[in-house]
Amino acid sequence: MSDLIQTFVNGLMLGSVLALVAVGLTVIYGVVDIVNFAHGEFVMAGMYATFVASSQFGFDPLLAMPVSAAVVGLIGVLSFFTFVRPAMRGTLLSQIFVTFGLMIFMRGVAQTLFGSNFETIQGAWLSSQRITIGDIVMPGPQLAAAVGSLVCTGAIGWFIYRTTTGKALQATSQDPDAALMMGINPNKMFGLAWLIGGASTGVAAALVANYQPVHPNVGLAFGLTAFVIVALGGFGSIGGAFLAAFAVGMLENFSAFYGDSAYKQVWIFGLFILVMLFRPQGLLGRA
Amino acid sequence: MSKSNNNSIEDPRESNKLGRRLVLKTGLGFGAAAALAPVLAACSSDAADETSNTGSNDTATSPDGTPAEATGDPIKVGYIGDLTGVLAQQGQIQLNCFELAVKQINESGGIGGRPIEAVTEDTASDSAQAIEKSTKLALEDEVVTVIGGITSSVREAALTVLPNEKIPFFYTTFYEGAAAGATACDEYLIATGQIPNQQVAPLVPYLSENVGKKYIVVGNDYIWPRGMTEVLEELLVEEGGEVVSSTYFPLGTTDFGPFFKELADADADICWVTLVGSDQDTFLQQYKQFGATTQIVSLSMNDDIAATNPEISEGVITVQNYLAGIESGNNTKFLEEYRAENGADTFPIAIGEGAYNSVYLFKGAVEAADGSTDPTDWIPKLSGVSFDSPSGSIGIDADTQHAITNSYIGKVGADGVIEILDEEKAVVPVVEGCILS
Repeated sequence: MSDLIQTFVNGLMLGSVLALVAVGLTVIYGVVDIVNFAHGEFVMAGMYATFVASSQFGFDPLLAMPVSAAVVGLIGVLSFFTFVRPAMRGTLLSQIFVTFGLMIFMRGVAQTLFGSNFETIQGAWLSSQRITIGDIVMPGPQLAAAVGSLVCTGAIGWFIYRTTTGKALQATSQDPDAALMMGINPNKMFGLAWLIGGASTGVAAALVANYQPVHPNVGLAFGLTAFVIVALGGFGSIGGAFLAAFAVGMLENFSAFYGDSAYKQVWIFGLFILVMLFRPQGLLGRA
Repeated sequence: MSKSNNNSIEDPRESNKLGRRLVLKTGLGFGAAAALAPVLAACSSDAADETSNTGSNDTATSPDGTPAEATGDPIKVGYIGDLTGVLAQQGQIQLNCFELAVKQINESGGIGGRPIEAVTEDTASDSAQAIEKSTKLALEDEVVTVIGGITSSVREAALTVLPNEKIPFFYTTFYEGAAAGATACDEYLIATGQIPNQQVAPLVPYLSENVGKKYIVVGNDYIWPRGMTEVLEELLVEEGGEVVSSTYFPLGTTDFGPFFKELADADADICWVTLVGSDQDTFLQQYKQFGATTQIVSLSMNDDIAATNPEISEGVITVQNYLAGIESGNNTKFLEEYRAENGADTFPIAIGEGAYNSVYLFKGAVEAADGSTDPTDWIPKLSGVSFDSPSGSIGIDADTQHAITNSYIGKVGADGVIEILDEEKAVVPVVEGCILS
């Protein structure tokens, strides 16, 4: 029984972090209609921001969270106005490759700035915290990441669905021209989407940096997983990404504990293929 | 957020709208494309990597004229390794050690008066690139030998090319030995890293005596970790120990949560870790956070990782053919010169020392063959060469062409320094059924 509960708890903790990473990607797609292939590298940038704030300036990763959010939010906005916006007028291929190029560029910059070492944050307060109930262990960093992700994802949902600016974002997402006629500047809204997508990814990165080493290629796993989650949930759907993230978190933990962990990804991609066969628009996506 | 059609021509998204279906299609290529990224990155850095240098041969003719200068025709020696990608950290150290040996040899008269000209190539941890770069080294650069390699896949890839061109390959990383199959016994392969009997055989009796005999195994899912578990299980039959379970994760795993429950249930004495690269660091970090306390033995722990991440590495036991804590005049000198080139806080590691030793073994064999760089002349001389390396005296076993190395068992202290606990000198490599001489 404790096996089952522990595996379930692990799945919840993993799922909530994946949700926040994926929500950033889906917000950008939902509003701007571009898939950010460099999304994993946004996570990497946030982890490095957290690492530098911690190792150079002595910030605990928790306190470095706003720094990471600001850095990645800024990278998001700058990427949009410098690379992405011009490419949106170009051909489809240039739209795809502009963020793909950004991915390679960011990895190169990270390797130049920080070298290829795997760095872990030393002395994080959360690292030594742990909640144990009977046999069930919830390490501080993972638990905090889960709670932080839920709060942040909730805040994004509230902002988009409940505030005036959020409604302007939705309007731009549905029809930029009609929005423009209503006095909404679509470019500002596109920029805002990249800011939100980047900043939320920065928060996720700071939380993840508590329990994972950072290196220039760390984004690879995050980018691919986030893409699968967003596709599973339905492109542009926040609720869908949320649901899919938990499905992936659970599947990964249950298949690895009760099955052969070497094949855990087979289950995730198996689910992905299955959903795509029967519901190509994703779980909550609209056809 | 929902999407609807919009028909305006003002919309910058309008032309070639990136539809969902297309995104999915291209997305399927994402994995492949992402995997390709290091390849692309490597291509772009080719110009920088293809450095052809003769060490600091030019400075060897110093006015005071102390060391003999190497003035003859250069001998071209290739290096291939993982300079970009997930193993770049280790690859760079391996290259640093290789370059240090080349520099030292060139400054002290080269090989029989001829300087070494090093040609460096990056495989980006990719088999296809390893084949391409080995071919380039063999046919374009016409090197006489190649040194380097980390992953088994890169070794296998290089061995599809180099033996056909009659170019010996010094492979300097610890690996699975006979479990690799026929290629482990190739007349053009010279291995200076350790194979399982050299790493595991000295370690297991030490652990039986000092820690325990009940093991739980966690590793990455490929041949080396699985091969090491097989060797461990065989040895444990004699020792009266057991492996209670073995779990393998794909490379690039970010969450080891499922394993920790297994570990808690297993009540093992030793957690045997054969995870590599960032996976090892991720694992160690989460291990402490889950509150696990079983003794960790990790075969890929080294001084560089321990010094970079002392908090998570503390307490880990490892076995290597080189550790920076070896107390000998040779090692002190090696460390000093390595740090003079690469920085005061840097550490050479076993696969690097293997590359360093390879250059010297090659030099010794060519000199014993009266300066001939024809492998049929110098390979038979290898077993007669003894090199006083930073890790002690080493040589090449004539039958297997694998190095007779020294094994050092060490434990990471709180300060990230690996303290040497035990050592076994001159451990002869065992590759079953391999008789090359």
